[in-house]
Amino acid sequence: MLALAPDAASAAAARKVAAAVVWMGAGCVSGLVWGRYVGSGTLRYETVVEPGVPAYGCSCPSRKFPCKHALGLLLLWSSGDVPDADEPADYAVAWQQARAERAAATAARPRGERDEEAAARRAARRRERVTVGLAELELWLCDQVRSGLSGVSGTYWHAEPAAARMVDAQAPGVAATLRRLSAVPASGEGWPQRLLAGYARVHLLARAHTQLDTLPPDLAATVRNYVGYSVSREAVLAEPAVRDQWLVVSVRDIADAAIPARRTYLRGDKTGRWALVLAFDPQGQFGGDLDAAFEAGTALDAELHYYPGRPPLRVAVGARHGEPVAGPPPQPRRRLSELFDEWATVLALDPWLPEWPTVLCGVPVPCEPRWRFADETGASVPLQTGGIDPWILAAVSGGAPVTAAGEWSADGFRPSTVWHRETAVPL
Amino acid sequence: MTTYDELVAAATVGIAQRPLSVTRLPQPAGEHSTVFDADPAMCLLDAVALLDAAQRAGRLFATPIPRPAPAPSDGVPELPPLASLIVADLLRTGPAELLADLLSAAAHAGFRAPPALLPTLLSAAATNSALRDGVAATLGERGRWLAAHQPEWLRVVDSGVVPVADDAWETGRFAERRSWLAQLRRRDPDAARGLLAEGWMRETGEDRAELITVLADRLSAADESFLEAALDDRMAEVRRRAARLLQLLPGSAYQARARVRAAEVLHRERRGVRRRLVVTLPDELDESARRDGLHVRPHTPRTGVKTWLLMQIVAAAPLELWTEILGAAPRDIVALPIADGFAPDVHAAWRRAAVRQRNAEWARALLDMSEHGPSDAELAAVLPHTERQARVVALLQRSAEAVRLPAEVQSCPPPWAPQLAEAVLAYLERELRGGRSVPTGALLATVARALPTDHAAPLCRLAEEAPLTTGWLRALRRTADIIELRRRFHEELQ
Repeated sequence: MLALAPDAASAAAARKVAAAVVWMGAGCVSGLVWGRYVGSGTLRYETVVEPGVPAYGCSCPSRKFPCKHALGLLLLWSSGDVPDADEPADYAVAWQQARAERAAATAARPRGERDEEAAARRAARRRERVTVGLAELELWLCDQVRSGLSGVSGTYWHAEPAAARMVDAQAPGVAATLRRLSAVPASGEGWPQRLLAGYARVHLLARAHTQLDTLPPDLAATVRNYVGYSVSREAVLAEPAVRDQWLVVSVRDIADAAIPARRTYLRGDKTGRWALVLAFDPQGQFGGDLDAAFEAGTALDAELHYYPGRPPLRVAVGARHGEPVAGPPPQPRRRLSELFDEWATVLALDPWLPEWPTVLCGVPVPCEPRWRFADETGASVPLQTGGIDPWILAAVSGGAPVTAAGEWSADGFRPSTVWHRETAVPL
Repeated sequence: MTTYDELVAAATVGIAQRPLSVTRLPQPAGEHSTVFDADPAMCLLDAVALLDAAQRAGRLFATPIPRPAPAPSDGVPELPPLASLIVADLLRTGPAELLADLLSAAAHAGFRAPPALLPTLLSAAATNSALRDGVAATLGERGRWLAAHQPEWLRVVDSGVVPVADDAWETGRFAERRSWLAQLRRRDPDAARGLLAEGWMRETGEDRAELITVLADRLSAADESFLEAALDDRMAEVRRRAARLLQLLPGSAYQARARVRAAEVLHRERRGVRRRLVVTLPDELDESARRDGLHVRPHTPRTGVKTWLLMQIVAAAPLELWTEILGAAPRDIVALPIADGFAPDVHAAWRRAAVRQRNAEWARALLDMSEHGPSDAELAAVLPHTERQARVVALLQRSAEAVRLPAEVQSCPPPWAPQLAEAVLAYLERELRGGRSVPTGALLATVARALPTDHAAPLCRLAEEAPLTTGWLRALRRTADIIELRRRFHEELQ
């Protein structure tokens, strides 16, 4: 019963109110419970509860809903201390009538129209809150630059208040970015440039948000993604599907995120398109979630629906045709220069893009201070080894070129899968 | 022109203190300078956003890098997929002994470990010596290539058979030099000793202690003078190992000295018809005894000084001494009473000597007479494999002393003969029916490792009749599961 309370304080208060002595003329009949609350002095409130709905009414000025009186009455009733009555009290009848009229009025309009109107109102309100929040954030960013980044040297939480403000402003994506940036001043040499670049990207996002209506629709969708407007899965599934034999090339668990996530990259056999399936689980278990059950090296005939944004990457999995089967190794890029070109192209579409999936053919080179990955021309890039065992990559390679799939970012190549002849080996 | 570095420097100090007017940006960001905001702070962020995008999209400096020498190709086939899965599972869960058995079986059947498992196998073997030989045997060319990248992995390689280059003795790592010397010793014992003697004083003490053990193979009278000289080595461990080898050299001066000392401490006394052995201990050790590796002070504080002396002297002598001077067979000698309660010490010394000298007749006699004493796996190991198992079978069939059985069974390494398997199963059945408590995990682990795979069915039947209230059901099921795992693994190797 107390689970209905809006917060713990209300629940505690309700317990005090649930005493028969403070209620006058309490009674119940046919699903309706009422009573007059007698407080100190001349305080009198008329309280009505319909436990089956549940619905509450009370003449008190409390902003909490349900108020402690309604909850208290409910508790009293549930413990069987409210006597049965023949007729409801007048004020109970009046409350019930008013409720019925309100319900009839809303039901009179067609449901779809009502939903759309409400949704549009909510969206407009949200956009307004985000706009105000981001404008404030711009001032904060300018302050940082004016007063100097050196003031936050070595700290961990400097952007936390700004992040909390972004949560209030309903821009959770920006909040998450700020939280990540909070740790940069303690990340060692070169942090001012990394922090400033991070600020500049947030600034770019805020500027883009002010022009949301004039941006190309796909770019606007990307901006909205980063800000943290959610897109419903249903809406995405309503978009046209791309059917293909999708090869699972890389599965990576992001355990240290706020909500543990699993990133699965698929590549279409016929279309050659990339697709990203994201699965979230607060417990990091992913049990039973089909979107988290992909295994690298398998292929699935399925219809994928792309989320709006550019370059299109994230998908919702629609119809699946048959079970996953063992797939062939993906066709890799043999030269790093091709990868650089592709990366420049996708960054031009989305300058905030943190990483992009790729399949490379090359040789992992264990060297100090950091591993590198060399292509057939001998050119090499840093190999990001966090969270994987690079020695498995080296063992499978044996010093010869191997096909490896993973993520490319400005910091280098982070592989998740390597192919040992026809077999995919997760790293 | 305003550079990225200037912008970072200004923002770090704060543009309130160090104002900066952004003029023009380097290409390609420079093309977009028209979008800058009027506010200086905003303008700086605009400029950084452009430069950041340009920098991230720009080509990374793709450093040319020398590639590592590739691993030699390997004609040995990789483990089949299911067998690989079993190895991967056991690597996570253990038991290590079972994994070691399976790896050895895989190597024996002509397979090597799949590359993806090599790092985990090498790391596991580096910390768990039980896995070392099995892992070393299944590394293949790829594994040895990989191991060269990490010192602790190399030690795993070294425990296996190392293929050595011709110049390994001069230029190789220690393990390679040892292998090289061992191979030469097998071909030409004298040449190996000569080579060892030649550079002997240039080796470190630890290396000398390791290298001298190579002479255990093809030990002959020709080695005596070298070993005698080693008794005067600076390093205690070298002296000890030289003494051990000389003890095994028939007719050596060392043996003669040991015989004299032993005959002095233990002799026969005849009183009427009763015969017994009497111990006479020396008051102290002379210089020659010390040189021969005998110590006054016991290694363990609990051993008495006299006992310690007695045991050292008796154990250093060849066992033939006693059959000669007492004119009796080992079986009769070990049955003789010994005065002053020295029997346990003398028997312990004989057991030690039988193990070192690998004397099966003495081992048999000592095991027979100590049937009611502590079991001795080391001593049992001196016996031929089949005899050892037959002894355990006999024990299992006759004996009611359940306390000792686990140790006896555990001392029988796989593979088990059918008779032993059946006897062990019958023993388990007796224990279960008799309402005894569940055998130790160690015993069941041995059963799981060593019971022939076609004996899993009786074990499962036994598990079915196990009462739910005891731990028998779970313990037997788990044992049967491991046997089934072994069966599937061996099937994959066919």
